[in-house]
Amino acid sequence: MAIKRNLHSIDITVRFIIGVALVYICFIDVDYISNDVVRWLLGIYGVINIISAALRSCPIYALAGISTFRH
Amino acid sequence: MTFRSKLILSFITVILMILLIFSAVAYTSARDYTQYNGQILVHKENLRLISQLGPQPPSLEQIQQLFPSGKNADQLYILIDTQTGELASTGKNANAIQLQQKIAHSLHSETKASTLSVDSETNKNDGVISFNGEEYLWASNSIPNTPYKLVSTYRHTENNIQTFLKYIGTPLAITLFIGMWIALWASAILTNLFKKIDDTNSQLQFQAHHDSLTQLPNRDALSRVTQHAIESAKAADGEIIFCLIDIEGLKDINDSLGHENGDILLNQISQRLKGSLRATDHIGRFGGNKFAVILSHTQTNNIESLCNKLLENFETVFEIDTHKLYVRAILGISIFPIHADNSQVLIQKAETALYKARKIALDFAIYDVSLDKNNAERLKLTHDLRNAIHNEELKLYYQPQLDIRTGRIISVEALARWIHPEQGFIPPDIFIEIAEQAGLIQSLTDWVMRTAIEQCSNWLKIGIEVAVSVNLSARNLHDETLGTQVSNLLNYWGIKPSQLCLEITETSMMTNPEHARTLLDGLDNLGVRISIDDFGTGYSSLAYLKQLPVDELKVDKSFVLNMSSDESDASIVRATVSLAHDPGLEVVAEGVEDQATQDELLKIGCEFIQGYHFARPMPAAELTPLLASNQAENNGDKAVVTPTVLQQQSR
Repeated sequence: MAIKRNLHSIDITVRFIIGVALVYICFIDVDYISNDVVRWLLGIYGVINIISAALRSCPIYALAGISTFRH
Repeated sequence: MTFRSKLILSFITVILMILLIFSAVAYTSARDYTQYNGQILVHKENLRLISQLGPQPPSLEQIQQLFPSGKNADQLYILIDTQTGELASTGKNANAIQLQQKIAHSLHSETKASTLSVDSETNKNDGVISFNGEEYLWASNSIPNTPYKLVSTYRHTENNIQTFLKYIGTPLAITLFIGMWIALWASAILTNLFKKIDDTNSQLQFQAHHDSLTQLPNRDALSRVTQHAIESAKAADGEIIFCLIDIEGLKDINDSLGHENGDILLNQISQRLKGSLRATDHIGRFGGNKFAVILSHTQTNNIESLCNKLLENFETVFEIDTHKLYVRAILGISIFPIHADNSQVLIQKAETALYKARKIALDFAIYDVSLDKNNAERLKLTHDLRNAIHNEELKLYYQPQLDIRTGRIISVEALARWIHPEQGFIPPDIFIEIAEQAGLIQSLTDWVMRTAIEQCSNWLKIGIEVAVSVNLSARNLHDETLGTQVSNLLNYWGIKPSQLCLEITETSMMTNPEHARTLLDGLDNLGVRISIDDFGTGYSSLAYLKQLPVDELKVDKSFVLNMSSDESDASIVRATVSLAHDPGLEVVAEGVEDQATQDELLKIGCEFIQGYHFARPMPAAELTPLLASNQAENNGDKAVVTPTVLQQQSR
């Protein structure tokens, strides 16, 4: 099944920046967050953001019937 | 506030409350755990210091030497004389001395009150004390062989909340953020889900009450709307006109242009009708080719103009692609409160009115109470006819057909007669129409054919060889088993196929020419004769008839009756006889009622005649002597049977 784009360019950029920042502070420079569970949770959130930015589609947007993408 | 906003707010509130409760519990638990751990450490430090003393009872100086000499402001050591409750040693500065005194006082009084946690085995006690806005952990242990107690104090922390926030606050904030994020999405997804469920429900509800093609209210919805309109009219002392609109010729359009175009036409009609109504009126699709209009707040004295206004919608052409179509509509009207006081009966009355309009070819008809009486009678007749066919209470009469060239009876036509026990003689055209509408025609024809062939066989047994004609209806032409049935009956009763003639009207044959042709071919192969009845009243052509295995034409009596006085009728009969002879068909003239007509028919070459001039239809018992006489003549024993003889004998 083809993935339908539902993210606007700004949405994609914001997600990418947030994703990269979170992956950096959670998995690369780990001193920022001492709690491992929280660090992993945030890290996963960051990865999800990067994936959705790369796919230009957010599965939760699709479930919620939202789209920031304008044709 | 929208449903989505409410849901988001609820989720966020729940998340915040959970986090708040969790934070409070986490904070108190963390504080208690830290105190517990701290006190254990203080006890351990006390025991470590005490263990450095030798087995001999130590002096006060020896004990004081145990205390670390560094100036650690967070740490204080106190020696308390348990006998006096006074400090055995004091700190170096005023603050320390005050703290020492407070702890000593607290320890002494609380020990007396036994409110501190005291372990009877180790003889230790501990606690937390606030001093100058700060908390101090303390723990006391008795020094063996001395009256002293060693009390160590540690400043717990500068600010517990700050420490808590430092270690727990950040993870809590992140958890809060993630919780909010999940709450937002959960509410968005749930809102979308509920919206979809709502949409589906609305759609289902709409479909349940509306026609899928025209999007107009359906029959059920119309019934409710009508009832609602009636209630309103009752309250306002007003009137309601319920108008049922039947679209004619839709089936032909569906058959010729396809159902898609038929649907487009229905949509166009619904749009036109809708456009011609006022805001207070209602329209719906009643099913099939019927629409219904409910006119409220109107006067019934101008009902004719209202009907004409509705009919005007059908005066202009309907255009579908390149096709231009004219459609006729018939209206059946019923009025509240004149004809009914509830929707169900009002609709029923409109249907009755529509039936009347269709039957007598009017554009519209208003319900009339006599229609119901007719309907009730008709319903009773249908019931009685069903019983009469089932119980074989009908009579079969036979009307002879004469060869006018020889004056001999060559055939008889079997005709069903119904003498109703209460109403007496019911004309055949009435009960045959009822049988056709009630789906009884097949049973009726079966009975006629069975009885006629049986009678033919009875005549044969007494030496009378005569052909018998049986009428078939349009519905019989759709009976695939007709050929087999006829064949079985002929075999069973030992009748030659040529002795049976099946009469089919032009009109019934033309309803499905292809099917009729297949069926007639099958019957022809059996050797059964085929006759076209009521010829001249339908739309068939000799060119078409030429392709069918037809043996004879029966000229309709409407042309024969007046042919002696009406030259145009005579011309039609003449032309028919002439045209029929060309492909080799024989001609029977029906409705011959006088000698002049007979003479004229003989002159123009018509072979056979049938009519009251010779004989009315009569029961087999009455006809048998005539046939016997005819048979004797055939055998050369007697004179020719003349119409006069037949007339006299049949009376």
